[in-house]
Amino acid sequence: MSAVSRPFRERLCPFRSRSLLLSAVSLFIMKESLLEILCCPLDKHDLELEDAEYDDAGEEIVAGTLVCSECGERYPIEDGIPNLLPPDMREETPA
Amino acid sequence: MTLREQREIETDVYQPAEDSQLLAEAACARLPADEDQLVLEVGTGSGYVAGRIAAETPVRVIASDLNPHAVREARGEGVETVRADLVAPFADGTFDAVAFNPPYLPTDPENEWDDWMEHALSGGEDGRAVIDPFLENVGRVLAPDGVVYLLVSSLTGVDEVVERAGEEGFSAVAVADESFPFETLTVLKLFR
Repeated sequence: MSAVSRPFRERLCPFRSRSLLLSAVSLFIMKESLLEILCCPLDKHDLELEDAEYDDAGEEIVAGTLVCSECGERYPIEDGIPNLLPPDMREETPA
Repeated sequence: MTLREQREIETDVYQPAEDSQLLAEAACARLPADEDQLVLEVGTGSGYVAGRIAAETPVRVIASDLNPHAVREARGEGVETVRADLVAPFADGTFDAVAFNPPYLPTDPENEWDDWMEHALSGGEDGRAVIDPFLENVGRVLAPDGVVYLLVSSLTGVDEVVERAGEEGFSAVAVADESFPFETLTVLKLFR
């Protein structure tokens, strides 16, 4: 089942347990076509995908690194979510 | 009473409230039924607004948030998510529509608290500390006929936001509003 085409499940119950959601590992993939609409947040140049790990079907990106074709800054993809924050904003704790 | 207590906050991620619902309904009712349309929700939080757009319209929706807990929760809704500072990592001229329910509560700097929920609620002293940079930058990522659906509270000042949007080249029209005891919520449609 594609994560993205999956319907917004159980919409009538938006407050359900988050831990239950996080157990749905198949959701943590990134569509390759997302790359076309992303750019380096610093200089707006194109990003290139490196060290990509694909899912079993070989279609969706599970992990990898996005690298700016201009400045070389590196942005991680974790759990199917690219972290496109500039390096100085990347910490897990609030600024 | 702190902002946190007013909003009965218990998690690291802003959960859907009346403002989320008003924005979701306004956007879903107006987005064209066209699967080629690309829509961004900035500051998605729980993913509620993006999830409703994905469920109720054929458009492709991308959701972004600064908060790592929020992007994971929204991803759990099945929405494509990106961890981002407003619209910074999105390519020029990309989106047919951008929806944003910003942090808008005016906050005394001495009363701010340093956690993710502050980022989700506080709009700084005038309530527009996040709205202003959003208005400055959102034009870059909009397609030529792209529009913005922006939720604004009377606590933040709708006229001030409309004026600020005008300085960035946007016309504004109110497409939805709803009154509550302490504020009136308005969804502005911004277009060029």
